Amino acid sequence: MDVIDAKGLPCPQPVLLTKKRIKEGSGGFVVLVSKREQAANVAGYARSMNCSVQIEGTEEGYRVEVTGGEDTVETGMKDVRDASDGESPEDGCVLVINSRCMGSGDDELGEILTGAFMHTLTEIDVPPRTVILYNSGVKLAVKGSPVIDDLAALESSGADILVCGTCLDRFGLLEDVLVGRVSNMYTIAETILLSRKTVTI
Amino acid sequence: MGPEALSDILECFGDIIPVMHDEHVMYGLDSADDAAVYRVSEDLAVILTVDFLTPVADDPFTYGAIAAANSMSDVYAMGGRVVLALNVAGFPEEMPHDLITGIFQGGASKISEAGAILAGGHTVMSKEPFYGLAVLGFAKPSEVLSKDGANAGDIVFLSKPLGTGIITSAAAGNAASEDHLKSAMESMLRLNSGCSGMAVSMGATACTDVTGFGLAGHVLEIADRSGVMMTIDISSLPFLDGAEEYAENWLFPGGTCRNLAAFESKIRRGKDVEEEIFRLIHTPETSGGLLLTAPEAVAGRLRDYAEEHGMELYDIGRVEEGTGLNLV
Repeated sequence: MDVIDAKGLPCPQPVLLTKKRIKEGSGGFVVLVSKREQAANVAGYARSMNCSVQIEGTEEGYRVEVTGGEDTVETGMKDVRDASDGESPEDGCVLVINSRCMGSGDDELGEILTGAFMHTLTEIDVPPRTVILYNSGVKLAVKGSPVIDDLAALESSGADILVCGTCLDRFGLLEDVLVGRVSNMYTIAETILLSRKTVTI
Repeated sequence: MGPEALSDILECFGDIIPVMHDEHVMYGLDSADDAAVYRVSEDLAVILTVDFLTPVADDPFTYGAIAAANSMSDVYAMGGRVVLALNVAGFPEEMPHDLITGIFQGGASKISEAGAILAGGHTVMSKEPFYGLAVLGFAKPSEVLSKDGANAGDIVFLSKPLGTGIITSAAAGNAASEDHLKSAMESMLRLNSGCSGMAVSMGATACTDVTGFGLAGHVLEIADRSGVMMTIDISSLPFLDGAEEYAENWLFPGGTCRNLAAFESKIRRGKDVEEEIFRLIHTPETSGGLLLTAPEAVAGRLRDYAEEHGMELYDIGRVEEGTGLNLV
């Protein structure tokens, strides 16, 4: 896969290089950047062009993998999310994850269960419409999380992933979010109250 | 500096710097307003502020003038008139002298336009150029505008369109059109003096200028300091030509992300607010407009006055009971 090395380049250079590469077409590519804001802007732009995006933290910064594009049949996150605004109960539930461990009693077991659960979510027919992460649940969406790939896959398939900003701030992880959007209690409360089905694990 | 890093450092100010109190200080370190204000007498308050920028324009005269307008804006945001200014500058040793002269000339021309006097300054050697002003202003103590006076029911106004930050960012990547850049420059060059004078004489309740924290950050400052919720109607926001286009292409500067991380958790974002516009209102502005609040009765007079005098003034929202920023 092609690699665009944009490490050390300030915004908006990484986006402009990504734009040029997408225009040239032909297959997926990887953009390497130094800072989170550069990764976020590259990812945002690529998604707006209907590409799928995966972000990973690396030792030197961030690796943004871009696949698909306007002239492929693959659907980007944006379209799927728009389509899911049609509030049909079949569209999946709101899933609330308030801990990085599933269940209580044995944390090590809890982490294994969370890993298995998240992976299963990516394989079932009716994935959640929205995933809300709060308290230690937010640790699932940051650098170093064992389930980051599964969460990213859920996001790419159209799920809205809301990560509690107050919780991230408390853990000092605001800068480390790799998946989803940082959100607040208004949005979280509204999403839970307006949903027809909320599941907490 | 990003808002989070800055607030981290300022948070421990209380521990490392002894608390200094003086009953004459109306706005100081603890009030975090746009400038410091000292009450000299019942009729006179002096306003003091300092600000400088790294280059925002290729042309030295334009850069100097924008930096000066940006520095003086803090006095206007407090409802004052500018009296004296001092140059604050740093330039690389090898920088051609005619460029430096151009920057100083641009600054001086803006100071003169403001009806103030350039009275000195200080310049050092610096790897990266910077230029701005220390500014002294006067106001009547009873007429000083601040961030803490907004009341539920007030109307929210903005005096310049948004977008200087995204357009200069796009221009840095050679991705902005000349016309768009030109109107951004003209906007940054415009003094906030007229709007400030109008706000004081008509009785605005709160005021600040829109700069590094972007519209969202500065609206939140008024909301926090006044103890109210600010509802901003996204569809009513004025943008410079090109700003929305560059936002759709994600040409945001790094400051946008830092502002988002700092402010997003205090914002209630309506369903129809698109990601690109949401980010655009978190994008830092340079020499932006004044953000005002005024009661309904005053609001009508403000609109009439602005229209009569050909001044820009946009209704962008309303103050309500509550906390934080509500985007609809």
